[in-house]
Amino acid sequence: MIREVIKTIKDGDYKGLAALFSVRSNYSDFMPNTIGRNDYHIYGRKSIEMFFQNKLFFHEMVITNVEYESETSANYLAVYNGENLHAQMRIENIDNKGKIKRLVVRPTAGEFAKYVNPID
Amino acid sequence: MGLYAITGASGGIGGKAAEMIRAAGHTVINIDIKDADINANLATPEGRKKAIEELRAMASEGLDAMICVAGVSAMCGKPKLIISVNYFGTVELVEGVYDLLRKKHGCVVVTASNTISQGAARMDIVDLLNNTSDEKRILSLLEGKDPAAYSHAMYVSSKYALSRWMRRSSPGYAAEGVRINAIAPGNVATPMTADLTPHAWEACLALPIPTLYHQKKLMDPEDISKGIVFLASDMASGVNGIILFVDGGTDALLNSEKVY
Repeated sequence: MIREVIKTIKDGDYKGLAALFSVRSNYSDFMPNTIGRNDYHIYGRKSIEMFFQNKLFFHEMVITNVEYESETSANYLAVYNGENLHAQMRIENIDNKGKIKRLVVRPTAGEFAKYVNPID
Repeated sequence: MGLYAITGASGGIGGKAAEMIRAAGHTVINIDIKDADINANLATPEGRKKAIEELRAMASEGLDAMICVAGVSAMCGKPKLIISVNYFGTVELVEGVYDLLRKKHGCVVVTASNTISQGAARMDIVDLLNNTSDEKRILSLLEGKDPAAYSHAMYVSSKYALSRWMRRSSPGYAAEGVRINAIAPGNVATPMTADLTPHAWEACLALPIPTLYHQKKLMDPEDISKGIVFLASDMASGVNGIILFVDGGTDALLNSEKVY
């Protein structure tokens, strides 16, 4: 299911993205805080649709270099306000109709971890 | 009944506000570039001086409200005009008739914009506007600048600076019996928006208005006028120093975490 989410974002398809969510759902994005901005916490499918209509039209959410970890999570490089950040997106909750109830994006140490010398 | 002065009341939001205030039995003095009780060009110091002098003559016993709606949008493509009208055209007028407002414990409503929360203000220009108020020097910075690149930023900067001037002035004004507040409209349907290109129209709709969800239209000017009339009325007697967003919820959608 995460592949559908990522595809709609990359296609700029805010309506298709919103259709993946349940009526009462939540999108939380903790990435902006890493660059000194306020996080996004959007409640409800219609709000999610309107929010992404804005972000995708003005190219404020660009996703590249996606690595799928599971059916419900992926990590990728995202551009937030011109800055390249490593993010992880996870579907944390799905309702009994298969619709997303909670989608969360968080910063990840990701590939950076492999350059840190292990402490022995 | 009351005596209200409104800039930009020859049409649009100002015109609707004037209608509502007259319907409540008050007298309105319209200050606009033409077709007004006081015809004046608020883009120039001379025009503002004319407006203030004529208004003082018409309202020598005092004013119940000074409502400043006159302004130009980024679409005019003239960064210097935007700064002159939107910022100086409002601040100088209000300060020029402040003593008339004190006489009647009147109030002030200025017009900001919901764009102030969207991050496009040039804070260097905002700081110069608020901290130097030197119109000539500030306009000289814009000499020869590309209008396409600067108009929107100057529009947002002028409205941001106006909002901050209002907040800075509000405690002192209110202590002397004069409330001052700002209205921050969202995207409003105007004759200009009727002529937008398809791409420009999509850009407008990409600032969604939750109260108009899926209706593919912009706000009615009357929605904004109602907010102005509320702030200028006794119903807002305890309201001072606020920026009232009348944008159908666009700001809350895009900036939910900015509670204060």
